[in-house]
Amino acid sequence: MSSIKPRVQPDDLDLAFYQATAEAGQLCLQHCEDCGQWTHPARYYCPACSSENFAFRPISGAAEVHSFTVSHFSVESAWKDRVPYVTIVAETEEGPRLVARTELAPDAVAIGQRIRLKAEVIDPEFSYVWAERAA
Amino acid sequence: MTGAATLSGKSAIVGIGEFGYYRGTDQSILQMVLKASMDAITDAGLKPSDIDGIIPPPGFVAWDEIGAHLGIPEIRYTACPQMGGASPVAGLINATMAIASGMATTVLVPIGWNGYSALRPRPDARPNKRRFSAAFFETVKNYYAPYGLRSAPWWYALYLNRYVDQYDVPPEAAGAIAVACRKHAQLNDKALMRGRPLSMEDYLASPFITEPLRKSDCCVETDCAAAIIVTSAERARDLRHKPVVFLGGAEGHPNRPDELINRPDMLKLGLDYAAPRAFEMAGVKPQDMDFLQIYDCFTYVALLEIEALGLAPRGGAADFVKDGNIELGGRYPLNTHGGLMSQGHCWGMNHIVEAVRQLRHDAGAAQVADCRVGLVTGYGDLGDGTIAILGRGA
Repeated sequence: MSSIKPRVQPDDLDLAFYQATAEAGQLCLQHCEDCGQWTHPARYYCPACSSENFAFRPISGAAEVHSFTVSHFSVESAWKDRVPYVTIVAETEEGPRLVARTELAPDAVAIGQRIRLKAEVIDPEFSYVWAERAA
Repeated sequence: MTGAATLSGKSAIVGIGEFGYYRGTDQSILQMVLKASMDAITDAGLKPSDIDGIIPPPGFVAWDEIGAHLGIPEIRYTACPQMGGASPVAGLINATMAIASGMATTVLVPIGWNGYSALRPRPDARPNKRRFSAAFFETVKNYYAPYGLRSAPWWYALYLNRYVDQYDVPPEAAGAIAVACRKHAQLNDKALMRGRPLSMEDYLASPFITEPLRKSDCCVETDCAAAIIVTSAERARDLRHKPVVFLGGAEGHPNRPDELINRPDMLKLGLDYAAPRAFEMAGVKPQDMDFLQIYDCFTYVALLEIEALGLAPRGGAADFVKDGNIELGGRYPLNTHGGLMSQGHCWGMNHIVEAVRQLRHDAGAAQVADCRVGLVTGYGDLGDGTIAILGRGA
């Protein structure tokens, strides 16, 4: 897992999410400090209780495949040599879903399958989410 | 009767205009939009000075320059729905509200773009300076694009592949949409894919872009513009064409609208929320429709819309589209102009224009015999949905 930095310039809470993940060195999500709801992407008001009192906290990494696509075509230099590549919609055990990349082969991925998520910190403002086979 | 029900029958579409559909043009977006707009004004038998409201496209060109170039002397009303391909139907609904409330009498709703040339500019072409302002582009830039999910096919595949998996949707169901649109495009002089038929075998041989989407599941990028003129049903009776009356309409948005994957049910579109309200307003059922002009950016999205409309249960669109049911001559002819799939991508304004032609009984070889009522849907950005139910006026 060593990736080139994509062109990303997050602002507001998207920046806060990436900064928290980079500082912790592991995947962090927005956690409501009042009701305990986890939210992604982060929101200024908790969707469950409307609280503004939140922190970014590490998640366990346990997740399952909610959906995925296998891409067979790309015009992008970073991706066209990787086809076919799998992109996963991962549902974390905390609740929120994240887009994740993976080195799993297309026929090794199925909806409902258990996976483990990890962050690859690229720089203080961007990390990749990777999905691996659950141990 | 709900409050919105008072909008039923309050407006009519009285003019239509279309420019395109091309792969490569030397016209600017503004020129194309103006041409379609002036054609729509002329088609209605009106002059620019009869127009007092403008609902511009969600990007590229704005109401003030449209009004100035067309020579509209007094603009009383303008608003701009920002929901991609759901915007034209939203514009029609918005125009109806303005007319019913007395804020405007006659409203121009145009759209256009160089959907082909923007990505493949001539060496001497100047780039488009202005685009869109919807916030979902930030979601895309921050969370999807870095993962090789470059544009709409890759984003929507994230939920469409779950649809296929959970409901065992066969590729032939999506193929039926592609084949019907292509068949209907053969009857349309203004269809990009006229002269290029598509069989189910051709469809199934089409290569995957990103699963479940094959190349032949994706609509065609084109340079084009289209426009409609909306006025009160009363005023419409004195104009030159048979009025096409607004019977009902609604917009709806997924929870959450700016992001695709954290919705409780990823397969629930804006149209799922909007359709029941529109049918209630119009006082008709989905099964009363004589034709369906359904926003078909991708075939599988059209399947989900058929289900959202209540024409089939969740997962049941595959049965609905079988055996020519959605082809001319079938019970529910779909996209009788060829749709985004085979006429061209004009943000679904071409679907409204075609519905008007059908209800005027002016659709030529694609005419649905004696049609009285039909619907148009819009789908935009990350699932915004709009619907209008239109009827042949008295």
